[in-house]
Amino acid sequence: MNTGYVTIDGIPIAMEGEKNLLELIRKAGIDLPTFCYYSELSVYGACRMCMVETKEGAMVAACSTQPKEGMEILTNTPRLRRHRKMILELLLAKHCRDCTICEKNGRCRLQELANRFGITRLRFPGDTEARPDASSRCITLDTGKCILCGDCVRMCSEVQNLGILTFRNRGSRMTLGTRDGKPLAKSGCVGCGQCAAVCPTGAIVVKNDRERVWEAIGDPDTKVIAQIAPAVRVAVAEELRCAPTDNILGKLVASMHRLGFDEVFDTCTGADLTVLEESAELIARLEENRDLPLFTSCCPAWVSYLKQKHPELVSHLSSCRSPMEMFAAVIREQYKSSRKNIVHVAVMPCTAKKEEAALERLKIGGIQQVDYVITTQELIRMIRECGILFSEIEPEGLDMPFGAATGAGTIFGTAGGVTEAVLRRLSSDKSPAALRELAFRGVRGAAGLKETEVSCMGRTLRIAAVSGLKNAEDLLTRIQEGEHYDFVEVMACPGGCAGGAGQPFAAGDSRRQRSKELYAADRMSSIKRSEENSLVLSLYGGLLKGKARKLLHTEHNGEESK
Amino acid sequence: MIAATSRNTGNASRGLSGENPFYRLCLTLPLDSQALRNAGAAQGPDGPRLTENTGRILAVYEQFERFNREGCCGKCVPCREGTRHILELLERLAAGERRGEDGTLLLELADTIYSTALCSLGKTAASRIAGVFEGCPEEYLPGGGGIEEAPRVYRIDPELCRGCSRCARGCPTGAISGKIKEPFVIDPGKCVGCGACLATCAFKAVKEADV
Repeated sequence: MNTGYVTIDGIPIAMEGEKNLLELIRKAGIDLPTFCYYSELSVYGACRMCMVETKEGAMVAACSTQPKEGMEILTNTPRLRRHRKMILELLLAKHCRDCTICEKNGRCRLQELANRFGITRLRFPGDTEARPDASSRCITLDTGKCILCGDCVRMCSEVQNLGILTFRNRGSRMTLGTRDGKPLAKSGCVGCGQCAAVCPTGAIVVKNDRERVWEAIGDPDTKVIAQIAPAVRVAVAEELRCAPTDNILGKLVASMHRLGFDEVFDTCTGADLTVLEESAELIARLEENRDLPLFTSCCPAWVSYLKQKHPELVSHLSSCRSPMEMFAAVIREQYKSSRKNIVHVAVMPCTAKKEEAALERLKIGGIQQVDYVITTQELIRMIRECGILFSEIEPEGLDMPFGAATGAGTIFGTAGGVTEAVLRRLSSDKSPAALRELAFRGVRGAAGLKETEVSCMGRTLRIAAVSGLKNAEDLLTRIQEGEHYDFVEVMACPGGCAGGAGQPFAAGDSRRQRSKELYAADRMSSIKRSEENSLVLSLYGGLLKGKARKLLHTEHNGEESK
Repeated sequence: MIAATSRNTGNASRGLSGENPFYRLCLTLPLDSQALRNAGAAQGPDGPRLTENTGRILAVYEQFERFNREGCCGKCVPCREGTRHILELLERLAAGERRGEDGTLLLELADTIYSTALCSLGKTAASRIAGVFEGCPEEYLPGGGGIEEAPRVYRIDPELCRGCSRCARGCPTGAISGKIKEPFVIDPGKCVGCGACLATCAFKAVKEADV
């Protein structure tokens, strides 16, 4: 580990194993501008915004320079300011400047830095034409807004093991595109949206379905029913300017009522159903000793990935619908005799859910169960659009008849949560001590792959929870090489749904903070096991009687057809 | 002696030999590698290259920059975006379509690319640009003396000009034309403001024009 001191703008800063100067400089409280640096991706060094000067007058890129004892670094000299402004000017010359009508308006890194550096004039001509590829249901790609920082390219290949986004051509003719030049919808994209999450500009943005939701809300003959995913509540505080300790879910419910949603339910209820169904499925497979490990099917990006890359393993997928789809089917069943049209909107941290909602195999009687999926960010926009002062609004409770959820459902929002919830279900010891013990079995935490062993039905089960499709691929390789697991949870996004691409962007500590808040909500819940959710149990005797298979499960035959 | 405006010794990554290509309109170096090295020039893989005395030295630079654009990988911003604009600026300069601040912009851009480009391809591309102007008398700078001043423009006073053609023959950019024994004129579009005509005119007919 690097130790010692580096002098940054005259102030000695202690090294604590920082891999590069940039991290050290940011630790010193200087927000050195960058476009292409993410601590979770490889260092690329292309944007050249983080150039700093050494005492000797040499210019180095902070992101790709190792700190060394005794270095003296200047981060803010007239030369550096001039060069940074010139780089911004070069980027802006080729970039669409319709900021006010851009989906990324207000959250764009290029816009922010142009503002910070006071760029008021461009001296270079440039092609600023928009070239949107809107073929995907999840994301829109507009190369006219791309600054070629490569963040999405590295995300797609390094973290998600897909390698669909890539650079095409060289030099000044270089553009972003798909690997084989096909439109996104046909490129094998699983819709995880992580490229959009790291894109500093509006080149890759999440598709927006707000207008159609507003339309449904505005129609007096339509009953608009919403479900809100567990990860949403832990990601809105900052953007809606309220303290994260407040009763955010209650405030969200109140705001959504204000927006005009007729009923608001919690997807955690759907998650409880998933726990019960998936546990039963696992037990059945263990008894028959077939198709182990059981892969979870909550994450649509993962399901799509597996079908595309490993069709031979599809039989391992759980036949369960995702919590969103299960819950949607139950809600539709509940309201099937309503005189009004039912429009069901799901508020999700996820972009791939937009695709999932439209899947043919999830329709029941030809009817799409979830009409519109909006992301956390879209909900935040809708709340802002209505001028609701989120910090002031009085929290309200969830609507009945589905107002009850458990802590087990809540932790679905973080990687390892599904596993823990299923373990709670499987565990024969129902004491609080056993519950606490489960929390320390290795399924919590930020690691991409978490493993544990539990005894169940007289045997020891090997269980893994993995997030990030590259991590999943590594695990699949091990499984195909003969390693045995009984249950594998996969979430495509690093950190699980809390780090989903529909959320306001968070990396590192702030993503871990979201997990912590979900576990805190679980601690506060009075019911912690899905099988103790009396509401869900009552469904089996009522609405689900004889229909559980149809409403809660699906067939995984063939590719994900749209 | 070889009459040439400039001589490149075969490596596009190096500037023209001699510390000041504008100033040294005629190179007298013998073409052997030791002499080239002594003069601070490197010999490249293509062997030495002569440029005809066309007086269009910017065209030579344009050629270098085009080479660079083809070689650019596109990864870092200054090289990918910057060298493209350098080429455009040079083309404009060479075509005599200089706009107000082009000279300043060219130097500023070259400075940024030189200081921040990821690899030496971009850096040398930019250092060549600095070489265009390095050591030049100030008035040679596109954009004028120094960076801030307006460019110098010359005109020929028709009353003093005797039409001897000496200035036209000495003009490195071919900007002066006329009939013998009639007043000659300077095409401001081609004039780079080098002042060679000012020095050669025996009748003091070349004047600095007000801009």
